[in-house]
Amino acid sequence: MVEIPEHLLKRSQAARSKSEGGDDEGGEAADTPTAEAGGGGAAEEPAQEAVASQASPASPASPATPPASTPAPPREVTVAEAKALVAPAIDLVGVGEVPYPEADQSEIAGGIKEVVTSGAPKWLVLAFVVLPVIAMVYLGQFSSGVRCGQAGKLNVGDDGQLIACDGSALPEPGADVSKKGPDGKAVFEKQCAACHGATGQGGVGLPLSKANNTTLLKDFPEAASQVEFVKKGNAAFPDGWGANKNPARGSMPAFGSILSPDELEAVVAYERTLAGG
Amino acid sequence: MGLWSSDAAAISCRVPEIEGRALTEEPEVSESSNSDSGSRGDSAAKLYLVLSGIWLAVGAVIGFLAAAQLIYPDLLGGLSFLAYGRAQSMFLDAILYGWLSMALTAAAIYVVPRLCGTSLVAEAALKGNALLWFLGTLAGICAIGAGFGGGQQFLEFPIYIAAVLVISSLVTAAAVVGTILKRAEPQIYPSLWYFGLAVIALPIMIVAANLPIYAGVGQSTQANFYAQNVAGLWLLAAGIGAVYYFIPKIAGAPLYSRRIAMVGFWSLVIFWVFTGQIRGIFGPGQESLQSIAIAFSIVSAIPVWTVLSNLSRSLKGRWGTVGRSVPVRFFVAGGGLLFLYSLMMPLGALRSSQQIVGLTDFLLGNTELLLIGGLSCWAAGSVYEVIPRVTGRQWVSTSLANWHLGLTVVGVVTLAAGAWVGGAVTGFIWQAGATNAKPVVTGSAWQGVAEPLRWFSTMRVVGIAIVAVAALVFLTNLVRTVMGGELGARERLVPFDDAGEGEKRESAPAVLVASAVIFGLGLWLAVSLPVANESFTTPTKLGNERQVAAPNLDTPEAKGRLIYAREGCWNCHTQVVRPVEADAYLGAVSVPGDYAFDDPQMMGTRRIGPDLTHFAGRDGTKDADALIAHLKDPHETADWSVMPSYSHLSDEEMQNLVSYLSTLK
Repeated sequence: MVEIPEHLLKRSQAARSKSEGGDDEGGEAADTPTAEAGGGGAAEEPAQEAVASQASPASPASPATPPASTPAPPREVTVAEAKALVAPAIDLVGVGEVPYPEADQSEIAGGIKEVVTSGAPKWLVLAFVVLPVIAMVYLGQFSSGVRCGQAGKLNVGDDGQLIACDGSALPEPGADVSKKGPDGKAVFEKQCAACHGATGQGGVGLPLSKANNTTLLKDFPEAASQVEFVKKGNAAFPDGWGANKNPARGSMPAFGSILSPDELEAVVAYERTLAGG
Repeated sequence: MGLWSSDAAAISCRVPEIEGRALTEEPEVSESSNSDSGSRGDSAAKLYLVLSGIWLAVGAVIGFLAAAQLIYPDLLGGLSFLAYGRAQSMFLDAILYGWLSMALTAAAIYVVPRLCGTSLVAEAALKGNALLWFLGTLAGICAIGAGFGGGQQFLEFPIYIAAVLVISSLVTAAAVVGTILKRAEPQIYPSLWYFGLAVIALPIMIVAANLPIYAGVGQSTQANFYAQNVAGLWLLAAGIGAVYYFIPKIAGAPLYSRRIAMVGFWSLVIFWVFTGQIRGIFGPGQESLQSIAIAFSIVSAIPVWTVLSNLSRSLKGRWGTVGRSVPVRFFVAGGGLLFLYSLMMPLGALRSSQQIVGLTDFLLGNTELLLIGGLSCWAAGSVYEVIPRVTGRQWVSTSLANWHLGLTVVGVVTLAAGAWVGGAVTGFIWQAGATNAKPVVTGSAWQGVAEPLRWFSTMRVVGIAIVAVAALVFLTNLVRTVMGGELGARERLVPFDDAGEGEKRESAPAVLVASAVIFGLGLWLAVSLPVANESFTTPTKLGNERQVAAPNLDTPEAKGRLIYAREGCWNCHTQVVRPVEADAYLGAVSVPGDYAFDDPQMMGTRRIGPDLTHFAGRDGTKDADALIAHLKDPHETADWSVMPSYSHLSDEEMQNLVSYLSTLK
């Protein structure tokens, strides 16, 4: 048990007198002298009471004995008196300053007081504004549901299985995914789009997209023969190219020296998805 | 026991404070009338407090025994009462219903009459009520241990025991609200709003969570709502009520701002209510509810921050109180832990985090930080403050109290950090397995998850062991104090019966009713939205296949499902496949209709063993005999497994359980 030893009382009184005239917070500074005076006066009484109540078991005849230790007959208690009784004695130890003037405080039962006029700290006001904004931005981001690719979400196929966002199935368990193949679309855009069109609509070269009625899949029912053709170019097929032996005119260059075999396969695969719709 | 009686003669006029401050003596009112008014209510508070201390120790020790089984699965040699699945539920329920609920109820019935300037309504009934709640909790925890538990976090108690808790919490609510309504003090201090909200919310929530109106996803929405709000609107609200009273009181400082307190109150009521679904992100529940929950979990920092800023402003110039007062030290430490929680809650809820940490230990770490960390510190602070005032006895040891605080903080941070880091590591392992097409999420590949997790399980055992030691230290101190602490003065409640003349009486019903209405709106949204969506109740093909295990059927599958629930299998195994990379290779993504007949639902919120949604449909799934052999001794086939043995199940029960598992196609 910690009691309030005399030396602590003295120390707190010393601290109090030292802090007289000490500065207070900003705008409240003007009130400080009166507040200090009021606060000091209010604190004195409970201080005596506390000292007395401590001392009383040891020396019941203490001269400063307040009513607290004198049994008195029951009588009506007014609200003000009752409040004063329930109110705690002011903390005697370490009271270095009185940040909130007594005049600005109101008392409530149970020994509680509150500062009547006080504003929220700036950081808290900032939080009141910023946090809801973050929350609204977050909600807006998902206002039309969580799309594939957002926050790691994947797509779900017709059979309920997870699929990648581009619609391709996930690799089989144990498949070797360490070597990532070249991106057929990127190769197409770099090497082929100039003649065949960015979406395969055709131009100098034949159309390759389904929307433009390409004959790609009829000319090359198998990907391997298309790879062969792209690799060697038009000139390598004097008897006509493709399954239908199309006339050997045109200026399709040979890409065998420009693209790696992997890139050839990738770009052909991409073109065939264009042709297939 | 003279201890419990109001032995007025024993009360001297010494200052009974541990922090050293004069106490209110009550000389004006004669001692006989005094003991009539004040001490009965306080003796109920005393009973609540002592019983709560028992629960903290019991809960923490069970928690230790549970956590240790994740490293040494055979620790208890097949003792079914404390098998991991059951013990984990008993642990968290003991902390929530036993320790925190009882300690904060005590704070409510101690503080409310004082702030109202009147005596507590139904004081006599509350003492019986403390026993009722204690016995209800005891029966519930024993029921879980004995194998009568249910299948959702914080809702494991059998329904008739939940009914006991409802009755007891209604009595508390009536007493607290009745006291507020008949108060003599015209003003309503913020603590009264929070306590009023808390005691009203609790019975409503227990009833709403146990209403048997949904199966499957609707039920999981209900359960998520409950798990989040029993912590927020009951325990956190009551805890805030307590610190708003105790800190200004002990420090002798005025409350800084009522306006800040009001902002905090309304943001708790308006925002926290909707955060329940952060426990089901990416799950088959409604995506819009999940988005709202995440957004509101960000704003839910405000209720915590208002309390912290308000009270630190109050303590301005009086921070020395922290050094002198044990309770204030607990309140400040609890405030720090709750500040951490206010950051971790949204951090763990965001979808970007959830794609990694979803369904891992991470969320449990948050729950532990909230319950065993912040709220426990606040509850313990209340105990340290109130016990001398209601028993008239001094704490026998301040140093034991300091040990309690230090060990609790260190222990809970270790425990939660183990969950956070372990959860993140688990999530990255799952994701890496999917990216490299080398799934670790099923079968023997789970070894790749279990072995790294073992390190963090060890860390968590150390953490919970420290928490358990702290709880035992606390209980020792509490029992020694109550049995034989040095006698000092007991605080008396001073009722004053007439309202202040000319003072404007604030309207209590307005505050209480408004909060109840908003809370009810959140409840309605949580409870009615699942129904509004037909896909929740329209079974898919998978859902129909699982109908054979629907409740009230006499099939082996239905019986097996109840065994799955009562053994707490859902504490480690989820039954939900989410559309994220971590869940690749687990099979078809779960949709609400899959769960149309799931009652109790077994989706789970934590996956420290493989997901079982499509268990029976997986390649290489063992036949029934091999599965039974695995359940009886999981380590024979997998020495790295931390799954407990289920050899305590009878042959018939084992057959039923396997029948149920075979429906998980």
